[in-house]
Amino acid sequence: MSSGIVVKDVTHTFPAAGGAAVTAIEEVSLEIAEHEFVAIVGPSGCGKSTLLNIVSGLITPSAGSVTVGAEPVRGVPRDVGYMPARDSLLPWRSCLDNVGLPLEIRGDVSRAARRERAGELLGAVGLGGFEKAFPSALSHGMRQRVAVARTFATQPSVLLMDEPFSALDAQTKITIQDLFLSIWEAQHQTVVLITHDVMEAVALADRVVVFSRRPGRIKSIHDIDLPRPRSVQHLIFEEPRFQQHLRDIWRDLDV
Amino acid sequence: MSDQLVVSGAPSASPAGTPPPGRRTRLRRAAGGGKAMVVYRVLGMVAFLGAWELAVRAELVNPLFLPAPSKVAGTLVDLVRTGDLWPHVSETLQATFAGFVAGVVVGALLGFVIGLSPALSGFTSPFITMMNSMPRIALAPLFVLWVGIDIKSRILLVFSLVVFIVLTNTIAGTQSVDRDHLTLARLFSASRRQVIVKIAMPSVLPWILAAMRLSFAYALAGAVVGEMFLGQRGLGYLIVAGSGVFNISQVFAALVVTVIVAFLFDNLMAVAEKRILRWRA
Repeated sequence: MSSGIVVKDVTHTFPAAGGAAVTAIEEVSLEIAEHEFVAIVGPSGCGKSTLLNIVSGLITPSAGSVTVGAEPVRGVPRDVGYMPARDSLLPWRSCLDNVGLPLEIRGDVSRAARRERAGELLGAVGLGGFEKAFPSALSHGMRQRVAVARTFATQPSVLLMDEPFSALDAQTKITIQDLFLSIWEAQHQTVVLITHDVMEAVALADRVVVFSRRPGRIKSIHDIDLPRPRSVQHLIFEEPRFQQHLRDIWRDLDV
Repeated sequence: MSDQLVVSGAPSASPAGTPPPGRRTRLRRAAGGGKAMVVYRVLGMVAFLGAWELAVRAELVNPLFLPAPSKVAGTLVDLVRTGDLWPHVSETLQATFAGFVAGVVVGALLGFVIGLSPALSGFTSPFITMMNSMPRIALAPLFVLWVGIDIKSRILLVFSLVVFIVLTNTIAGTQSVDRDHLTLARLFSASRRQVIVKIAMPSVLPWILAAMRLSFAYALAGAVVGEMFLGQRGLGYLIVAGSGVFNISQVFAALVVTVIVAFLFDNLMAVAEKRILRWRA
């Protein structure tokens, strides 16, 4: 099944308390190919998270349509993995059971298979040995690693990520971005990454979409021609083309 | 009695999210105490009882109204040795636990159903506030009219005290379920049943446990007060019978037993809570 995403003429208006409605995004059209990694950047309040919530089916847009794979989005699509800004781990569940949660809810694999898969994923994010630990015993970065593992648990073909690394300190962020990249580069899901961090967008994505101020419209799209596999650390410190992309995108950003 | 009905000590479920762990552990250490704290507490207790004993022996107070601790201990030992104490303790415990268990079960279930439905919680909220502000001890005579003078009326009294404490706490708990967790469940396409079982119930559990700990003291007090008015047996009856014949040391002996029961239960609950909520930092 193809897992491209087509956003067509999407406008969304929130009713506001004072009576004046707020238009978050206006006439946004975007095609994302299967296996493509697209990052969306823009000034804060530009409606980029609204777009992600529309693609994930949490919000029904005021106008326009969204297709994920062959299906128009109505409700939350099944084949999508979502990674929120905060890890949202359930504090009463061990790491293993947190990673297994989406599988458990879906209910199509046995308990043994679920635990095995969750264990493998914890290993893949460098948390082997922490299966039984509760989130309260983990650092911020470790919790976010668990969230990364959880996102991959259902083997989704589409990943939607809403500023997933924004709450981390600078060093932890780079480590986890590299970790995420290494898993993604082996699997190549279609990704939409919302971020306010231009560096993150350029380092991870194939294309960076720049949103204007509210109401959010697409201002420009930048192809990032950096070779893969990538290393975020390497890009930041030693790659002149990376710096060039950064400058180009900064110029378009109304900050 | 003015009930502090919504327990503020359910930290993981506070609406503002989990408080910073550092602060919580510091609070807990100060409240829990180590071995040294236990020694200080025993010393404090000995000093208090010693001062009391001395005050009575020096005839600063009339021993008829305030018997010395040694006298109270003697009475208590006698009550235990003769076996006279047990029917009373058993009577009080039966009323306490029957009313308490019923109150916790009904309060938690009802609170969960009401809390999960915005319409129901909106509708019931003024009524619950009204029921809460009613001094339910004052309803004791009505309970006697309704179910008779025997233990049933005391069970009903205990139930009426416990059920609202557990109810209001459970409602508060369901309403403070982390929104991020609910969003996450939606994104995983969880069914309503799954949201209830996997997210809502575990989130509310700490609130129910806290309400149980708080309301047990009310349950015991309800049973004892009920017996003072309505009983022929029980610790409350011992108190009334003792004060009626100026046997004040019997009054104190009954109070000491009440305190011991409350203390034992609270410690049991603390251990259970720690075990059930071991995921807390």
